[in-house]
Amino acid sequence: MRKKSLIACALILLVLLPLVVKNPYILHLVIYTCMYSVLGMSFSMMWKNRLITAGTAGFWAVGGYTSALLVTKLAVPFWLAMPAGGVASALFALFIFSIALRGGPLVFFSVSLVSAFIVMEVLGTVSFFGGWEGLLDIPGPRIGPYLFFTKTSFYYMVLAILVLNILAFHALYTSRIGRAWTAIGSSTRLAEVQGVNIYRYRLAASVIGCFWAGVIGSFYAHYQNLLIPTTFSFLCSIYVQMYALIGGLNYFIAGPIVGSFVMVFLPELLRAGQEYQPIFFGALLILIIIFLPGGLLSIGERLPWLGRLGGRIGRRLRLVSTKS
Amino acid sequence: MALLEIRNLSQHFGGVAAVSRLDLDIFDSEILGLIGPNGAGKTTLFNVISGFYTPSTGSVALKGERVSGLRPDEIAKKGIGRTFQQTVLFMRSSVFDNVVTGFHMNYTSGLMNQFLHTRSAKDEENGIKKEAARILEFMGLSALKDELAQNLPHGHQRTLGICVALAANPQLLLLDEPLTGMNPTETLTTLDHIRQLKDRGITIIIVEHNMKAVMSLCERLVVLNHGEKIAEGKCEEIQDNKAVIEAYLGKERR
Ligand SMILES: Nc1ncnc2c1ncn2[C@@H]1O[C@H](COP(=O)(O)OP(=O)(O)O)[C@@H](O)[C@H]1O
Ligand SMILES: [Mg+2]
Repeated sequence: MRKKSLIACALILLVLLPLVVKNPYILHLVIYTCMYSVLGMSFSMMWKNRLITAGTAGFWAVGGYTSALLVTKLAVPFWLAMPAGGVASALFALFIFSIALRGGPLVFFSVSLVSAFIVMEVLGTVSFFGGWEGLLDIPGPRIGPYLFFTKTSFYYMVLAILVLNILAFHALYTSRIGRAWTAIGSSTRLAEVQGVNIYRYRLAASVIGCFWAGVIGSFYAHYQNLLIPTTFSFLCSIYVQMYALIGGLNYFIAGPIVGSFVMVFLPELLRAGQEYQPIFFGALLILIIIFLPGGLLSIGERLPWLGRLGGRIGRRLRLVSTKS
Repeated sequence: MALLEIRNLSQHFGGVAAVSRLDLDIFDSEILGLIGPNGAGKTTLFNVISGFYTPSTGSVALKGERVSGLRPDEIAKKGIGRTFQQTVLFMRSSVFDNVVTGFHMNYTSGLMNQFLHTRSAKDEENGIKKEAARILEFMGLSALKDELAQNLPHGHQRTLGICVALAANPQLLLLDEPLTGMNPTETLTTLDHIRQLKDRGITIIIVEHNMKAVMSLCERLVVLNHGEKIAEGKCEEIQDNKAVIEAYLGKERR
């Protein structure tokens, strides 16, 4: 009951946020936080199965380009193009990873890396996709007569996507499917002996994760109105991993959100320019790895004076505990 | 007909034959003791039966149906469960979660029901939680159900390993040195539990170095040495078997 009212409060605050935050730049940062949160959760879903993807940006791009091309070339309505972007990304993942996963986690890592790289090359070199200068003049989202134009409207859209994403992942993680994923992440040997088909469950996690990366890719395309291939470089995938790690790798939903929030806003608060971001990143990462190896969220489980409560909240956030 | 039929089974690692041309029958509702010096191939035999290795030659059949060559999860679904010699648990999960996770393949409601947490999925989930609690009660771990597996003393971890295996509802249970690290009291309780499992119709193969325990538990013993079966029979027969005494003493003298 208390949990439900807490969630309701958080939601109301988030909905009212644009009334308080008038500065469009801040709102823009919040939108980026939500976007990176979705990408980070996609990474985390695979990490739960002890798969490390280095290709998040590639699937993000597939979703974005699919949606943008459907709208511009085929005049498909936006509300259809967005899920189509997700499906395209998911199908691409299904194709690539159904082969890669036969080889185990290391092959998965390499293949995810290489395929994202190839995606970027193809998008850059094939003129149909707009080339290295990018795909320009992507129209803003339009649902019926309503045209999304203001930062506030985009904020509500990305918030809706994020909330749906969280709900879907939460439902998965707390079901038998999520339990099988936890089992795989904990011991593949024992999971197998208990009847978990490792290959199939890992493939499912990869495809579902990439679906959401594709959906948010579509949002990104129509929010920015342009797509440039180099945006979706290896570096972007690494940043997404770092966000998840800074928030806490074992917090599969809250970790990426907290990590993205901190990493999008902290550089701004310190008024450091874009060019200092990598230095800033490196420093924070090293600090976290030394002092909080479980990520920012593990603080509750590490401070003794927070005691049992901290531990319980921590375990809640890790979504591993079944009520007996 | 035997429950498990092992025919001409060999498992080679490079030049080493860890199991060599083994023929063995395991009968319904028996406790079979599998003994032999270290390196005899007992664990390897378990690994072959549970599907971690595809045997170099020969076959394993459960109730007349060939299982060798299947994946471990497929073999688990056929009704073969096991524990590991080195404790393997879901270490960062609670004791209760370990057992609930062990129930993975006992679910009947579809994945969509699971995802949507429908009524039927919830009912099933509650049923499984009750079952899990029952297994913990039976094995005497109820009081520790909220502890993390990694925080349990070693003896309890071994017991939890058996609980997880039981969650899969196996017909045949392979126990690899279940008594290591247990004190005498725990050993006695565990032996008692294993007997009760047999009474419930679970067939058990146990690998164990504690001879007194094995003798008290099993009607029938099989002795492996260098991957080969050197003796098979009733406990008393094995005790006086020359080849067996030699295999053990020869090992100790070196
Ligand atoms: N995966 C493996 N690769 C190579 N050799 C192995 C492997 N597993 C077991 N062996 C070898 O097989 C033999 C039997 O080992 P094992 O089955 O563990 O014996 P036991 O359980 O009876 O002590 C040993 O010589 C061991 O070194
Ligand atoms: Mg062994």
